[in-house]
Amino acid sequence: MTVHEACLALAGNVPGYAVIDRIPEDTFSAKSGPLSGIPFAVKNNICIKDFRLTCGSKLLENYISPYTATAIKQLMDAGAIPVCTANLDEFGMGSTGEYSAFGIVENPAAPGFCTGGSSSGCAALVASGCVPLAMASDTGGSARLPAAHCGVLGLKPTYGAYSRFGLTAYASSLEQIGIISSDISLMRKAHRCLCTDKDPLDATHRGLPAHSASFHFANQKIAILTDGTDRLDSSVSAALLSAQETMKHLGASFCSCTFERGHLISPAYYVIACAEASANLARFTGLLTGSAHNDSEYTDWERLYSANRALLGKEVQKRIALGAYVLREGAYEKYYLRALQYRKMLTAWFERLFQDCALLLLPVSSTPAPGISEKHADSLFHYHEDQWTACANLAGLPAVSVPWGKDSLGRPVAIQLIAPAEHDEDLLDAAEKLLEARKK
Amino acid sequence: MNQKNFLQKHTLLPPADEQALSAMLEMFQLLDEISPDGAETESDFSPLRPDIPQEMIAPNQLSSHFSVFSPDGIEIPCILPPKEENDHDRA
Repeated sequence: MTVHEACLALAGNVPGYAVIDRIPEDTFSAKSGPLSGIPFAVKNNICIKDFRLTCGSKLLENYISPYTATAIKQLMDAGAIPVCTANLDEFGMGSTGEYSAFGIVENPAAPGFCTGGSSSGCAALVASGCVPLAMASDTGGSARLPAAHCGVLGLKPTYGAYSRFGLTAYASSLEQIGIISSDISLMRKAHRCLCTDKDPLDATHRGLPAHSASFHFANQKIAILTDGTDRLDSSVSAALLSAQETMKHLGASFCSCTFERGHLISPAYYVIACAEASANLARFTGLLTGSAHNDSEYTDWERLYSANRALLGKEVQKRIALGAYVLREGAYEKYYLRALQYRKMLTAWFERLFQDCALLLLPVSSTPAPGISEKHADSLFHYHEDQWTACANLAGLPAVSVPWGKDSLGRPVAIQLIAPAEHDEDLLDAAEKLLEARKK
Repeated sequence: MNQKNFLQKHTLLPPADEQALSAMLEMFQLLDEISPDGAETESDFSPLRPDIPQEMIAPNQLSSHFSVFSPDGIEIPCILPPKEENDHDRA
């Protein structure tokens, strides 16, 4: 049995709906490079030529991508081999793995609990051992949160570090392709393959400067976020304390900090994300991607487009509607401009923080993975939870979630590190040293 | 034009769940404490990428750089209904 066949066989045993499509072994010719022979999964909002690009949506159920994303080409040029496309919350909108039109993804590390989202399939496939690497996306935590809930590593790079060409746009100023992996050194290799010279197909891509020196915790000051610590599950608090102790053993010192008006992170994030989503998803009418309805049944384009767009899930429809609303006159000044202004304030806060501190340590979420179909008393709970991860997207900073044990129910727990812009390698160094120290 | 009709016409979506929208808008109201002065306009440069005008990554642009469907740079027009009198919006 080849590695490819073994991966697909394992994928078939993952409970739930982690896989969208299998990629036959002879589809792409093998190349040699730093990732030779490494199988990887691809979140199904990232284009692979001649394969379905569903984005987890009924509207795109039969849409075939006409080209391959730059990031996927870069990994294949380095020798990695895509084995399957992975399920996701529709268009990247969701944080539990329950919002795909193609079924719920179950958490292989914690049966009966959510994987987290939106990169639910990627996290499940890596956590179950099918593949050691997956290309995901992270708009507000969509790589880091499912990685945390499934007990693997999740990286969101500095904004502009990787090309976004071929990543289906949800919120263009917030999202990046992210990496989910079970191995830190493999994550680093993949990261370096993606940080290349500027891709002419993505105006916002600029790569990263070359990495000069390794990061060490000795004599470094680490900022510890104290916001909302009273709301954290005891397992999450314990993980953060344990990580802090490990850093202390490695020679770090600490200072406490609180966000600049942290209660505004989620509102600002959702205003901006929904606004951008309303424009980015306006193109999905069935005209370009194939109509789900018979054209001849409709007397005008508007009705046909509406019929197709009715196939979008409720969460996606809600975010598009909100985005259209916050961009109209009157609401624009009230919501959107204020969200942009808060974004500026938060970015400046991080800049001041990182003048004194090397990294920020904070949770990925208040609790480990919730139960599948679990309803929280606060209907906005999951939206407010995004503050822990969306802060890095708002400020364009690199962030990584690092697995850090399990709770009493066996659910993986993780910590999160955020670094200054373009210090992605410091982040990976820090994660590597923490994981090594934890093993001892 | 009331809010519900506006949203339907400009998004070509079914009627929205007003309760769900209201809950989110209530969350957005928290931003009232921020003064919008000093926020980016469409011609400003984004703090994330000082070398790129904000309009290149502003929400109302359908640039081919972000297009899933036109790798050769063909602009995809955004299909929206024509504006009615007194219905000013920035979408």
